[in-house]
Amino acid sequence: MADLQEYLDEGREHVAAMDPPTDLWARALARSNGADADLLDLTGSAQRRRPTFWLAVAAVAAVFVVVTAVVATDRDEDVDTAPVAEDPSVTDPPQGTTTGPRNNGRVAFYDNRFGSWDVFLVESGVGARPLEGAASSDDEVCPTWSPDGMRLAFGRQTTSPDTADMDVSLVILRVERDGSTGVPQSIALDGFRPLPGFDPHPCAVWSSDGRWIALAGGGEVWVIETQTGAIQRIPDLRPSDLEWRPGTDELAIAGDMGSDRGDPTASAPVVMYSASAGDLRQLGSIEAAHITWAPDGSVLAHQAGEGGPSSIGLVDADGTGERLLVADAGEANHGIGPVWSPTGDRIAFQRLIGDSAEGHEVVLVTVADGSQTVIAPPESNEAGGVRQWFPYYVTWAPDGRTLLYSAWHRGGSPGASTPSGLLAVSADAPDEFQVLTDSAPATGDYSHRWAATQMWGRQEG
Amino acid sequence: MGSCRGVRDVLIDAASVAERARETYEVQHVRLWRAVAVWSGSTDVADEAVAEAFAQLLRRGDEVLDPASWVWRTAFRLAAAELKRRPTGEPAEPIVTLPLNESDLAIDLVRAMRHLSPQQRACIVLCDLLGYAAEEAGDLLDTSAAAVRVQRMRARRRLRTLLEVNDG
Repeated sequence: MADLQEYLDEGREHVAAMDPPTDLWARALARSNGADADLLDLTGSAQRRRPTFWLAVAAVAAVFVVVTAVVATDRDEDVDTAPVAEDPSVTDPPQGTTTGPRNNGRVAFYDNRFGSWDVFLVESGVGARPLEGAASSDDEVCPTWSPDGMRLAFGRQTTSPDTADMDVSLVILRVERDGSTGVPQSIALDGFRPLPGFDPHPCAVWSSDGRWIALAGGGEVWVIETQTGAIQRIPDLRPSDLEWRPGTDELAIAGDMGSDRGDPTASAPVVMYSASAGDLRQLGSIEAAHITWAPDGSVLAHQAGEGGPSSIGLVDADGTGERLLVADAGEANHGIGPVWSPTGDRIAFQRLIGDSAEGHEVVLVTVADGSQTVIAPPESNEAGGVRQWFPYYVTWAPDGRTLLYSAWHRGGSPGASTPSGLLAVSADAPDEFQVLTDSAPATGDYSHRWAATQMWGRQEG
Repeated sequence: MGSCRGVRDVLIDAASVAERARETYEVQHVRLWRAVAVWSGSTDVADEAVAEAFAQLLRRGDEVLDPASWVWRTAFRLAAAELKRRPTGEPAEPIVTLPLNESDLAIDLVRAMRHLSPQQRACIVLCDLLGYAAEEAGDLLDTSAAAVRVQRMRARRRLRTLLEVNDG
């Protein structure tokens, strides 16, 4: 019996021997000039198709081109993930079908509404607004809140118009509750380069005490002491996840993103780096691409990368006690893997819905007993009809009861890329959600996504 | 004077558009035609979809920023629209009119591919039969590389079942 590869090899040989008709270009030219004399009857009969058919085909194609596509619609909810350059006049009135949670702080995100990437803040009941003092002609990306919610870290990229050289720095900025900002601390990341094909975004993740920041770039992991700006660089790592163990100076490093953006995100042995001691050790025998710590730092949840098992496992912080939490977490092609709630009782992850190509639902698993709750994509009623929101990635708000979706929705204006936004969704009553902004491109796909876990600051409302 | 220059500019623009479209055609049309033919199961559909896609590219001129990706998406969409339009009363399925008499395995493969979803079929055609990387296929199909990989994995799983192959 032949194996699948033999079938495919035969198919490849066959395809390579197929040649198109030699007059395709002539047909295209004739049609572009309005002629239809050469049109074949696609049903196979000799009857020539009426010109209106091709008008209809053209109309169908035009509609498909700008709105959706059969290839795309058959992948049902699929749409492009490219961000849309927004009209600077766009305002962000708070939207939503219900009142959203009001006890969390501000969500930081970045958008290119004004011609360059800028950091914005949004919170329940208040529209998105640019971060004070941060808007400039430079690109400012990947904002993350320090665990105390007082400081914001983001990457800044300056490109020389003469040489196309790029300077990358990490900016740390104190942000007061009224939105005013302090003097920015800028730490030059000399030698920072993204992996080929990835956005050149330094995406910082804070340690629980706010002393350390980690980011990845150019096949290295960078660890930065936030007070002094001292930098440590750990070579030969292309991680897909970085997570500081709460209460310690230990950074867990997982996954391998490959040599460029086209490579799958693979599992790799999880290693722990002590920022104070500067040493590296392997965490037990687990391999993973996505990890998340329990808020007390005692247990790590982990999930494999592409091609690996779809389970979610747990392991104690010393690398022992491996056990299974979720046997089959399904498939996903967006998201940041499992995310432990700040209250410690649940873990959120997302998975593809049925045969959908990119439409995900969110699953909450209770750590104590493994029970699961599925949260269907929220639906909001808009003037143009019902919008169904699908998460690019899901994280938790500081209260541990609210989920933050960086999400996209079906539909959108002709010619636009994927419409996307930020949603606050009640974990216990998912029908209660709020669209914090419907203009927040999900820019994490071609960047490092772990920063999403710290998009939501911990300031009390 | 200004009027004359305007006319000349229009002509230059038109020539530039045609030249760019032609360059795209030279680079893309063979693999595009093969992809649409295998994906749809019909050389007739491929002929028409590819010719019409390039005709639309010529009409749209410099509105199209990335002609290669655009013409791929448009050709697939035209082909899919035609398959859906066929009055079979059944879910759209490709009508196999490919010259496949030389290889039993290829015949079985193409028949099995009819039972894949359109996006799964597209991923198999581009990645497994035409050799595109997931990233390239994602660009051409207007989706992400990750989605291509997932759809391809599902397609291969389904093909193994349909073909009852033993490499499971």
